[in-house]
Amino acid sequence: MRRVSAADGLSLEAPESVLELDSVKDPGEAADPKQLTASLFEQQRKPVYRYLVSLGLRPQVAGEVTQDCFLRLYRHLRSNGNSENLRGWVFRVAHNLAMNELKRSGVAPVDPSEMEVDPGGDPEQALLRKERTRRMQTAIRALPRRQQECLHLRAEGLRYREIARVLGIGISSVAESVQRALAALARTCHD
Amino acid sequence: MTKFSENCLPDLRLVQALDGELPAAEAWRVQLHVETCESCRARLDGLRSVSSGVTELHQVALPPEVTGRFAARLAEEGSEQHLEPGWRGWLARPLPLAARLAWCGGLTILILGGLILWTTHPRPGAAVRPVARRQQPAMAAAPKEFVNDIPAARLRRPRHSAKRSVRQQHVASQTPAVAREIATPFFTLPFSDAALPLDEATMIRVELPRSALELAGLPVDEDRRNQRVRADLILGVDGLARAIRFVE
Repeated sequence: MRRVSAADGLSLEAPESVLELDSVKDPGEAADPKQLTASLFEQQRKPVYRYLVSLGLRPQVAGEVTQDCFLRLYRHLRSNGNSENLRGWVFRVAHNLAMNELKRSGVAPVDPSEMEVDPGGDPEQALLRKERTRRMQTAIRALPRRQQECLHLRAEGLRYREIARVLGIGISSVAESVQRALAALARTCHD
Repeated sequence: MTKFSENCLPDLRLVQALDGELPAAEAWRVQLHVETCESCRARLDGLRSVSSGVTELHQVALPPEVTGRFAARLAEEGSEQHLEPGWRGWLARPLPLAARLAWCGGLTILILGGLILWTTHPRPGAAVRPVARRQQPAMAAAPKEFVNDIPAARLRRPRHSAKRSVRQQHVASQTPAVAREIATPFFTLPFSDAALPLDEATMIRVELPRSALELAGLPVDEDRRNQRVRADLILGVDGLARAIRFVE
């Protein structure tokens, strides 16, 4: 977690990933589509991959879809496509490809907790952590699909306006979905 | 358990403040309120805790081979232009200069050839109407007997079934029924060329108003003036009518 600049009049803490938005380079700075694509891939490949996994894609498929997203970005840039908000563009493509893949494969989404990396360390702490994760996963899966998507995109650092573009909904709907999802999770996890 | 007063902020405002989605002034007001309101502070802490928990769930490691494979695919994509499958991809395929020139040359020859053929080839169907228009003053001018004895073998057989060559006509004239069909001899038309290449001439049958007989100096029954009468036209290679005769 990182504290927002006091100069902004804020002292609340925000997820670090949210603040990463400003670090995404303006596409106007790099003219070469290949360099720009490589740069965005370097910055966003992990968030995109994690989002795809959170939607229920298998790791191997999520890896392929991640590559496809950025290759499509390269073609988009090379054909002089709109270069505004490329992170939102990549996530929107990733979202659509994931939905297509889930429809095409016709299998139930994979539970991301099954792929959790074992952090090692104290076995008792690991067990507690695993139990907490399991409860959180169960609670998230019980949420409406739209709230889950908003929550996952927010966890990957997207701003509300970017989430709105990815999912094709209004910003106020995003805020409401995030609030309802967090409130529901808070009730579930603290019961 | 903390009390929820009517001054407490709604969850939506707290979440927006947590996510940095409020304007600076509004965020500052939320901050001031949270510092003094135990209930809102507790709810904000709860939301923050859940938010952190969700973020922790996303700690899935990216397989290292994805990065390497993407670099290779991007390099491959950059070296050769990505082509769409199908005819669009075929059209977008880059061609060497010589091949482009050959394509352009071939296309030009094709277009010019088609244009020349179109302008020089006779079009029988297109010539019927102008002939029908022009024959009236022609016959009125000076009808004279013409090609009753055209060698049948020198006339070209027409493509359309309605057209009959002079040979066909000659053979048909041997039978009494067809012989009765012919009512007048052929009359030349004023733009007829004496050097008409008869090998290329064709004969077609058309229908005209009976009043056309009057223009040829033939009597016309007033009661039947609006009826149609059939006529044989001999067309030159240029598509113009050279002679005409009326048939019953």
